[in-house]
Parts: sequence; structure tokens; C-alpha cells
Amino acid sequence: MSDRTEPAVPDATSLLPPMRPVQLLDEGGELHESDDFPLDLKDDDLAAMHRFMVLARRVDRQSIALQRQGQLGVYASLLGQEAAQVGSAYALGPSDWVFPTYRELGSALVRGLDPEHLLHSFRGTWLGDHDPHEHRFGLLSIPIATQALHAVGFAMAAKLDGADFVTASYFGDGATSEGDVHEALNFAAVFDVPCVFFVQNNQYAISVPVSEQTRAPTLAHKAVGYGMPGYRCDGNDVLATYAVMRHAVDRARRGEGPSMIEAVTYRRESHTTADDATRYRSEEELAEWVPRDPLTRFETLLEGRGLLDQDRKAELEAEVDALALRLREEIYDAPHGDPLELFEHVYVSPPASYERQRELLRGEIDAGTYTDDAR
Amino acid sequence: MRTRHFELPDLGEGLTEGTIVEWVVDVGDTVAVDDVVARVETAKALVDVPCPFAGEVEALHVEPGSEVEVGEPILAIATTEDAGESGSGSVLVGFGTGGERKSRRRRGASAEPSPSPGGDGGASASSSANGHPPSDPSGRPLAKPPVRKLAKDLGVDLGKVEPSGPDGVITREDVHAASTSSVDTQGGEADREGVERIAVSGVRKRIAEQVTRSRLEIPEAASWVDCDVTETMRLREELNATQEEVRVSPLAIILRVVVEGLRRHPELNSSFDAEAGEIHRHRRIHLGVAAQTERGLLVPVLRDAEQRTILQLAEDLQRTAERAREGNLEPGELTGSTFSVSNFGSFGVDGGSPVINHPNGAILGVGRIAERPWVVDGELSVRSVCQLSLVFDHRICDGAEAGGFLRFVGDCLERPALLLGSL
Repeated sequence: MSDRTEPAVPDATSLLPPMRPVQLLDEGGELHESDDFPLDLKDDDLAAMHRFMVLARRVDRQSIALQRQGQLGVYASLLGQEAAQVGSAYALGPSDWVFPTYRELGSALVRGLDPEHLLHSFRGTWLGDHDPHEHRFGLLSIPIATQALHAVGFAMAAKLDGADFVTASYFGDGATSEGDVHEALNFAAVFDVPCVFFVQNNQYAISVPVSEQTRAPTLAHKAVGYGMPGYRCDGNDVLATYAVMRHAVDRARRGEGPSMIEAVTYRRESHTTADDATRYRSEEELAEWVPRDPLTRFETLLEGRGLLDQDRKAELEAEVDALALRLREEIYDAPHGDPLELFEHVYVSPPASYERQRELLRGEIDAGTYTDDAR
Repeated sequence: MRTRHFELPDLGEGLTEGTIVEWVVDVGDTVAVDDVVARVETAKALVDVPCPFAGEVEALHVEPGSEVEVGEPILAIATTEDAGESGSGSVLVGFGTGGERKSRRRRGASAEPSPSPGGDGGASASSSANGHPPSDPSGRPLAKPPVRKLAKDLGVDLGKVEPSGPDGVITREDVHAASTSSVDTQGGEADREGVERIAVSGVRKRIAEQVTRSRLEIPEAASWVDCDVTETMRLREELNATQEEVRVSPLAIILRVVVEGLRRHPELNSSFDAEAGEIHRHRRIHLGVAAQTERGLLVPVLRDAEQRTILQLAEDLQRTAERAREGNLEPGELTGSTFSVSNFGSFGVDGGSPVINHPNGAILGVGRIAERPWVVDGELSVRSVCQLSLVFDHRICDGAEAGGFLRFVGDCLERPALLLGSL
């Protein structure tokens, strides 16, 4: 205990985020580079990021269609958040870890996941989910904010092991009101772990707008209270998101501790396919975000640099259409497991109530409540 | 080519039904996979529903505006070769033969939450001790969703079932027991008695709801007249002999007379709004004309009939009849009537007492036109005679007004020249 050095109390003003989010690529597609958040991307990187964004948008659309055809139980769309997800994930190294929410298709694609795994999860089959170690991408967290603690715990373990990786905890604006996020931020700061908290502020926690979520000046300001820097970036600007994330990840990798990024973006679709956003937000508000589309401005930049032309667009479209078709074929009527397997793998000695429920379900199956295709 | 049926999926999490608000496609249209075919409203949202198959729309199984249970087929597609099933060979399991219905999946706990989540409700157990069947806080008897469905399928009222499960939960066996005791006291299977159980759905279900609502809510009264329509038939012949654009039916003339009658007796072109304590008197006249189609009884609406001539009404009738036959009526063409006419005479019957098309204030029934002995100027002669019946909501007017309207219509049909006075 005695040889432990007290960490210096940081200067609070140095931790403050800018009120105006960092933006490198404006809505018209013009690039304004920043010394604070330099870009180190080559043309190949730009093309790859663009491809991930296009892919994410196409798979998103396919997923909604599959849900509307009864093929997925539910689906949470990322439309409008492609830049936030792709830019942030692209700033991570191969050894780094992502702890995602359920709305993380874009980040998942960048990490190399096959989207069919995610869709099998939303369908509820045995083929759902993936080996988190394979791409260093955690399982989709349906409960809000639990993954923030997983990311911090993992980062704590990395530090104890002397392992060289950073964890990225993804969550949304709504999660910042959850106790788990408080605990995660506090632990991360106190134990000075290599974790970056990446908040996609898409303006709504289901139907609750950010204005009813917090009285903090911005979500990023919350970081200061925990003693870590807060950053804000334009989450619809893939380059700003990349650069700010890169800055935070590099910092953590150098042992300078955790930080929190608020990517300001907008969820253009409803919360999930089981939600109707028209009940709580106006057409006008939605229309305001259309010109801020993350893909349009990035394509303007790429076209200006000669990295994107009609041929490349057509090629890309053919590629993503083919992938969407493959996904549809993979998911359509994919068999569910035996419903009774719900009761396996949880208890070694199941409690009596659990056994009763199992028998009840067995009775329903015998009575024909479930048809063969549901098994 | 093969026909595939698209069943209404669960569009939310655990929804059990939805309403087809609008078809975006028509029979005969070609659709690609994921093309939007319908707009469906659920308890949660209004959504565009994309088609899982490519091909030609063969049939729309459901009328716009009607509620459909999850799992019911809504659309038939004659699929082209690579209809969304290339490679994987995936098929829609459980469908293929007509009328067969698979039990619904995902009628989940979220739609009908288990009444005592995470534990066993002491409250319901105690209410059982009072001698009342236990119920959830909303007053429903306790039963798991699949058991509710079974009860619904068998027509068993859960409120009358004696529960045998723990804490007063009705079990599958209880429902079967109640079903056997109520349906067949001999203890045999209903099917063995030769009873075929037909699920009520689609148009049939909508009609059932509509007529039930009408008869439950509206205190109706009826009156009728027999009238000599020989002159009307002559007028019709003349109209048909002097123009070729449209074939005028007696019904078209009757509709024109009805419009005139409603102008003089606007109380019959009204709706009774019990909730607001108001009678809504409609300035415009939208005539619902009951039509029998392959898919059942539909009541297409001829809008602003007060602005139409006999020839125009005849055209309207012809056009809507065709569209109804082809199944092409838009939802807007099936709603919003202010008064209805049922031409059941086309089935060869003399008369009847039609059910008011709720929320209309009245309906006119038109019997068949037949040659009958009739007294004209004190002499017996053979005339074309038709019986008209008027069923009206006694809350909106009394017998005097209804009789006045019906007499006016009858008089005009006996002496169509009277109509000229209204021109």
C-alpha cells in the first residue's frame, strides 16, 4: 500500500469536451483537417470505410424486410449511424475488443463478423451469435448498459495481464442514465484501465429524447466528473469519428487511461421494428437530418478525389445486393431449435419451478401449439 | 410456377393481429422480392410490409380495413422460378393446400403476459377462495396464451371454465372438459357428429362484427310497401332504347329516387352518435350499395350521389360491380356511406328485413320485381310489382318520417313523372 503512488488529480478544464462536436468533413463533403485530431488514412482505407458503410446500410434494409416477413423476431435499425459505427470501429486495432449494443451492425462488419450471425440471433436459432474471441467482438447486449461493465472488467484484466489491447465500450444516450454506466465509468477511471467509452447519441432512448435524459451540458461532460476526458464528434462524419476515436484509443494504449466520446448522430428509423417513431417525433425533425446523411457527404469527398465513380458504385451495389440475397437465403425459414432447449444449459440441478415450466411447455408442444418449423 | 401464400407475420414483438390498411398491389401485378405489397397497422405501428416472394399477385385474401390474425394468409403469389428460394430451397412450411392454417408462432408471452410473472400470485389464489374464478388485474381469467387460443378455437368462454391448475390457472384439460360438456353432452367428438368447424376470418368476420354491432346498438324499426313499378320499368326501357353508353338497371332509377327522398327527409341520411349525444345529419349523400361478390358481401359506396343523374348512377353501379368482382375496390370505396340500399331482389326473393349498415341511420331493401295481379282503376291487371322495406334507427326519427320517405320512394316508382318535379 505504501509504495502506491497517488495519481495526480487532473485539471478539470483539460478534460472538458468542446460544445461543438469535432467535424472534419462538413455536410457538403468538404474536408477541414484538424491538428488535434489528425487523419492517417490512405485511399484504400477510405474505400474500405465507404464499403462498410454501404454494406451496413444494405444489410440493415434487408434485415427490416426480413422482420416484416416474419423471419426475425425483431430488428434494431442503424440507419443514419453508419459513420459513427464504421468510423469508430475502424480506429481499433486487430487486438482490441468491442463490447457492442444490439444496434451495432456497422461496427460488427468492420470487425469482420458475418452479419448472418447477428441475424440468426434476431431470428432466435442455434446459429445465433458468434465466438467473441474470433473477431474480438462481444455478444450483442440486449439489456441496456451491461456491456459497459464487461468492457471495463475486460480492460482491468488486460491491465493485470499486461496484455496489449484496448476495449471499446459501445452504448447509447439512454444507457448513460443507467447505474451500470456510472459504475463502469467510475471503475475505469479509478483503476485507470485502457477502455474507451463510445456513446452514440442518436437522440432517443426509444421515445425519450436526450433533453429528457440528462441535465448535463452534453453527454461527454459526464466524463469530467469521473476524472477522464470527454470528447465530442459529429457522429455523421466518418472521418471525425475515426480521428477522435483513434486519439482516444491511442491514449488508452499508451497507458493514459480511459476516456469517453459522444458521437452526435441520429437514429433515422424507429427504435426497433416493434416501434413507431412517428408517435413521438416530427417529420420536420427527421427531415433536418436527411441532409446530414453520413454516406452522402463521404461519397462527395470520395468522388472529388477520384476514388468513387459510377462503375465503382455499380460494382459495390452488385456486391451488397448479392450479400443481401445470401443473407435472405440463409435466414429465410432457418429452423429454430427445440423449444425445450430453453431449459438446458442453465442449471445443473434445476429448481422445481423450472421443472414445472418445462413440463408445461412440453405439454404445449405435445398439444401441437408449436408447428414443426418452429422446432 | 407455384402459388405461395404470404401469411401475416408478427410485425411487433408478440403481436397477435394486424389490420390491412391498404393494398399497394393489385391482382395481376408483378412483384419482386421485398417489394412493398401492403400497409398494415398493428397495435404498435403502421408499417409497409414487403413481399417475400417474386411473381404475379394471384389473390388478395383480405379486404382493406379488416383485421387479420398473425399467421393468416393475406396474399397469394404465383411465383416465378427464382422466387426468393433459389439455392437454399427454403419453403414456407405449413402451407400449400387451401384453407389449411398452421398454428401461430410467437404468440408470445409479451402479447399476453403471464398473469403472475416471476412467481405465483397470492392475490389470485385468494380471490379464488371467494368463490369467483381468479382473474388477472384486468379481470381476465387466468390462462396461458396457448390455452386462450385453444379456448378461442373451440369457442369456449374462459370466464365459465372451472380452473384446476395451481393458483386458479385454467389448463388445457379444463378447456377441453368445458368444450366437451358444452358442445356435446354425449361426450363424443363434435367432428364425429358431422360438425365442420370453420374459422371466422376475413370478410366473413368483418360482416359478422358489423351486423352484430348494428343489431346490438341500433333500436331498429321496419316498414314496407308494395309498389307497382310498371312505369319505372317502362322508363328504364326508354332510357336503354335511347342511348347506348350504359345499361340502366331498375336499381339505378331506384337510387335516384332514394336520393330525392333523402333530400326531402334528411333525417334518414343521419347517424346517431350515442357517445356524443348527437345526431349527425349528413349534407352529402353517399349511398352504400350491398353487392354479393366471390369474397362475400361488400358494400361499395357511391359518393355524392346527390350530384349524379340516373345514367351516371347506372355507370357508377356498373363500374363498382366490376371492380368488386375483380377485387379491386379501394378501402375508401368501401367506407363512409350515409345510407345503404340492399338489392336482395337479385336473389329472387320478394322481401326482407335488412340489417342497418352501422353507423347509417337506415337501409332500404329492394325485393324482386315480379309480374303480379294488381288493381288499377278498379280493374284487376298484371303489373310489375316490387316490395320495398325500410329499416331505420328509431333514435334518429319516428314512423312518420320513415313512412313519409318510404311512401315518397314508392310513389315516385309508381309514377316516375313525379321525379321531374324535382329537376
